[in-house]
Amino acid sequence: MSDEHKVIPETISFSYSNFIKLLESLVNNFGSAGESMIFQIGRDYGLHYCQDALTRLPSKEMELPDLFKYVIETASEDGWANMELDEFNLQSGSINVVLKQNVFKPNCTLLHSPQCFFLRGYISGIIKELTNIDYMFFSSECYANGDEHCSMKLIAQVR
Amino acid sequence: MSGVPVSVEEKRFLRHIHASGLKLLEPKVTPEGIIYKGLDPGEFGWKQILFLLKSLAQKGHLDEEDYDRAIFCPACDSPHVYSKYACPIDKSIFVRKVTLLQHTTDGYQGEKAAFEKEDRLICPQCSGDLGQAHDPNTRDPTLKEIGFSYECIKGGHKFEKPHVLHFCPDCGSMFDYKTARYIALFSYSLTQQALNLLNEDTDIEEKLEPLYAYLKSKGFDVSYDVTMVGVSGSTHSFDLAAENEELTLLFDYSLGDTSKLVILLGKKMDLPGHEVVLLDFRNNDEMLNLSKVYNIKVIRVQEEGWALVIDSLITKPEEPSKKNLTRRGLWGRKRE
Repeated sequence: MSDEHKVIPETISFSYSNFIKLLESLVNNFGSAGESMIFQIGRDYGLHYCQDALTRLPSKEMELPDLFKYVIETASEDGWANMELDEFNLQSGSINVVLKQNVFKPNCTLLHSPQCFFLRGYISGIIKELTNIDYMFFSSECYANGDEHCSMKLIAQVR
Repeated sequence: MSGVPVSVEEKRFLRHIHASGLKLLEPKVTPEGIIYKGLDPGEFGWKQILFLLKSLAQKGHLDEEDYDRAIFCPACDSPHVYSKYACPIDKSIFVRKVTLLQHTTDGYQGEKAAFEKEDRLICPQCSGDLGQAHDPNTRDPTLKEIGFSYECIKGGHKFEKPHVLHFCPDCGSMFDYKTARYIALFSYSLTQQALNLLNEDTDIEEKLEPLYAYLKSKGFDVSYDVTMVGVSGSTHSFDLAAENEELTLLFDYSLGDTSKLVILLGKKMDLPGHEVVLLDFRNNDEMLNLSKVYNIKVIRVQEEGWALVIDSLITKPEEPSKKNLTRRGLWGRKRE
């Protein structure tokens, strides 16, 4: 292996349409299991993203809701969506996030079904990293269903 | 895309089509939606039917042929649409069609309205009776239609080609070709692949009978074709499910295709706390080896001893500790 190939690149990028094709191929080949795989990929990504974001905290003394807000606002800068915290209730185990300019919107409206499994996992991964509790997708407002906004409600998993 | 898994709903709809006995499903636009001639929609809504047909065709279970087009309302998605003519200048729908007639005997020509006297057509020049006003079949051969135009009643504009507008009585929207949804409608017929699947299902249910009976004897509620919503919100279908107060066992079957195991793994990840089992009808050794890697139980229903696997799940449900799992990382790195 040459020296050139030993260097792991810091970032790689591919186009939106290629990313969508990647997700589509999972669903086309594995059906609902493909959606689950996309969720898991998103969840792992959310976990790692959160770990990284926490190393760059502006203040060490932040309450959990503020931490979550900080992480999703940082994540919004990556362009997945502008994520805003609507509800963060650890007692009831309920978290609601509003996603403005969700990048998956064109596919949701075109296919008339939610295409946000990656972002569901992503948010669930961030919550898991912060709370060490598994949160599951509960409901959403979705463009695919004709809703005006996109939002996701996640609830703590009862095991 | 043959080989792609069919959902419970899709399978139910395939059975529904098969039971109808129709060789060809032909679409028809009605005020209530798009229907397929001779097919009782049953439990399925018309939009759901369109979606299921498309999906089944993509999966190779239906042959799809281009058949017709329909205009859908862009506001409410209804195909219940009427067309109206409008003035191209002020967009008023209050326009009238002006037909020009000529009486060839004396050369008089003018608007049809000039000929109309009560319900007869009378030449204004020679006063000849040229037939009934509203029945072109009774017209005198010397009366010719030489052209037409449109007139806007409100603005008085005259034009040859009116602007075509569509009106949706369901939501009251008015729209034109620019915003209309112009939808292709297809006819469908069952493929051999679909017929094989339906036959296979009947065959499989017979093979599953001993397992079904065994699970029942152990006090489980057992159902075929079950759907479950996972933590991702995705809906997963299973060929068989057995449930009691403490445990849910979810089964898929395979006829030798190892991708079924990968699919089951994907579903399992989304349903923590549930046990999944693959029923292998082809005694595939590769499947058995892979199942150990994926930590999924495989049962060879045709071999002796399969009930022991069920017993082991009932008595000791497995919940592998994630802490003990070593996950392979990229470039050989390992992470705990």
